[in-house]
Amino acid sequence: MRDEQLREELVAWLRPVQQAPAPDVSVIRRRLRHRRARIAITSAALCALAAGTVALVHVTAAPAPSVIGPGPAALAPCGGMHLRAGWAAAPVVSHAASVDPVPITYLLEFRNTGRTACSLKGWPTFSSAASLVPGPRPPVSYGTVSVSMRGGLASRVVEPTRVVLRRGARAVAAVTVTYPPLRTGCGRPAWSVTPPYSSQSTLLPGPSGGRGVPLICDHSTVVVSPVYPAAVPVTQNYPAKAPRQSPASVSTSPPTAGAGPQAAPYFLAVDGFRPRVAVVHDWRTGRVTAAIRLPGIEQGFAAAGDDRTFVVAVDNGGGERFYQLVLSQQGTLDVPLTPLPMPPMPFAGAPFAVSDDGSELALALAPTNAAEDDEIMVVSLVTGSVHIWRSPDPGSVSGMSWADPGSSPATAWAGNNRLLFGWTDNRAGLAARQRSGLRLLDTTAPGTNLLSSRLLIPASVRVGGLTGLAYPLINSAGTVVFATMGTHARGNPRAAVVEFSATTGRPLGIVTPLVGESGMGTWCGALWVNPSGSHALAACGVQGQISQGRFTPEDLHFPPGNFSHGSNYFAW
Amino acid sequence: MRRTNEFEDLYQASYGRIVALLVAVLGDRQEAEDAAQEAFARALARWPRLSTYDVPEAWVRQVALRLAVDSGRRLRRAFRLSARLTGARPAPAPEPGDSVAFSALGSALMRLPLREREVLVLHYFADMTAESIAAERGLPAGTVKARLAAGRRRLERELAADPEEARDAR
Repeated sequence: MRDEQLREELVAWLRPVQQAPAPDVSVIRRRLRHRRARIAITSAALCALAAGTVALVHVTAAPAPSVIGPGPAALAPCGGMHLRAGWAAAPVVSHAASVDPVPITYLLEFRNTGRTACSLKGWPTFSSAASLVPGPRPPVSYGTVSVSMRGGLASRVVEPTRVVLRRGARAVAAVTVTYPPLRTGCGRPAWSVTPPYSSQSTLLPGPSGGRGVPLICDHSTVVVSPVYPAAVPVTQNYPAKAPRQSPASVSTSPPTAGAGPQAAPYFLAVDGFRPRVAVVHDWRTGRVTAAIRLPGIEQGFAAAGDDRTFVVAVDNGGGERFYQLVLSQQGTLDVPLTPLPMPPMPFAGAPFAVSDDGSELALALAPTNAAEDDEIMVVSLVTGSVHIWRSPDPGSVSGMSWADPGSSPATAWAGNNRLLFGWTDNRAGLAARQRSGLRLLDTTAPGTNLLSSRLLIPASVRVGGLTGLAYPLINSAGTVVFATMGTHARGNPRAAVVEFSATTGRPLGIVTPLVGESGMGTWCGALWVNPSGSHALAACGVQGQISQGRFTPEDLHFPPGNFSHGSNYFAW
Repeated sequence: MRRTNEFEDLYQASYGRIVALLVAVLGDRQEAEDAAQEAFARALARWPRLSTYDVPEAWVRQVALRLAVDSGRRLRRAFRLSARLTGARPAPAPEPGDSVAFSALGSALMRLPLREREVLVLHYFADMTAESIAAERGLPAGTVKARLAAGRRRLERELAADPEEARDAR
């Protein structure tokens, strides 16, 4: 086909689309209004860098919380004389960066010392006062936040939102400094800062002013974020790390309604018709206990081990952001969604899992310009530290599930191998196929090689004619694994849930009926498993409980809808 | 008021072109319209600045394409997961939406990798040179040319793989 032919074919094919009338411009205006509202609501998450570092810096008593969002219009802007500026106590090194040397983020803090509340919006003007103290003068840029990715830092524009500062409340701006490979001409110059709305600049403490003053070198660059509220540390809402239970002390009674968190009576599912609404269902009765409007389009759910704490990923146009959602015993949402201290992810829809105690999040990542998710990033939601495991070979991560086996003798085989994930090696050849399957990653181990994880169940495993491994689920004691397997007879694909020993990787049995898997509405997989692994819930055409490997049909009130594309739409 | 009218003029004039471009990249009209509308909403938010640009449509197109590529990756990832369960070979592109009537060429295009499809569509449908694509997408010109060449070869192969489709296309 010649070039001209190709052009004509393309134009002919797309002509009906091109000539279709555009919707009324009011559609765009409405969309913009919604977008602005979303941005205002989720402003606390816009600078996750700041949020993460706040968690590190403000580990003591929380200050009076700031008000986040548009706020009353009548509030006067904060004048420079009402704001006290200074460096926060300690810089934060991002281990997420694959850039060497890693950039360092410093917090510039503003405190409202006035008698009344005031509003703050925009970027502080920030410059080195070279005339006062000699030192390098790096270029300073505003309005962007850098996201670490393979091959360097990607910058994205951050829109400022209004922060209402009550008396004594604090706001921060993140100041990220990058360094050249060879640090030469370094020093700690004096800096002056002018808060938003102000023309009054303040000289920040110089080299003798204590810790936390940015070290600047020749060829350094500085990126300043807008001001954000330095409110209550976001990590304080996380459940305290629960004492680990030995398998002997874990209840093996079947889950019953009202029997406590481990009964998992509630599950979270996206409303099929409203991707911005998460619905809480009681699986015993089907009752909807809450419908929660999300700050963006739902991209996935994950549940922690207490069966009340969930992590929700949403995309509001500026990347994927993560929020913690904690349900009450009644299945209602009594505390607002809490943005997690993570940078916004440019790759929406990636698989992720949250650890049993809710303190860590694992996320599959696709490097820039690549189709495969061949990295797993584990973020500590308590300390903000990040650890990235990368595969030296192309491949992709599918489902993830987290065990917390602890150090009991019964699970000593596992050591700290906690994160179960599906891996598909995309290279051809026998060696590549032998690497694929369900693998266990020791998330506490040093190193960055994703394939240093242990292959638990090879992808080549066959169980009663079933092949393939999807939607893996491991119990928190790390003793059993459930996965969906299928037969791929042409025109008649069928699937079932298979139970494996997490100790040996050997199959223990097919635990659900074999059902037709049309790929258009029949979802098949294990939904929940209790800590000891003795009881589980599954939906595979028919719904029910699995107890000691035996399936009993029962209506779990699994939400109707087409979930054939994955398990991102619900969490138990 | 004049500025608002200018935005409406741009919107009316370029909406169809941008949606068509995104349909060719994504193969899904609903996703394409969503990305286009989101891009126009962002343009409206920045219109005082954008209206001073020589070609505001280029900005909208760039944002829309970035949104579409993200959306395409998401769709493809979801499809790959589903395909893994059913044992099918993972397809590089989502199934075409019902609302787009696919020609043989369109179907072949959908089987191309996203990055090659994107530059092919920009070059052959939006009539952009390799250099302007490179400038707009922030890629080296050599990379764009290589993707164009690889995309053309792959497209020929895809069309030739199905003689009936190839005949239709010719």
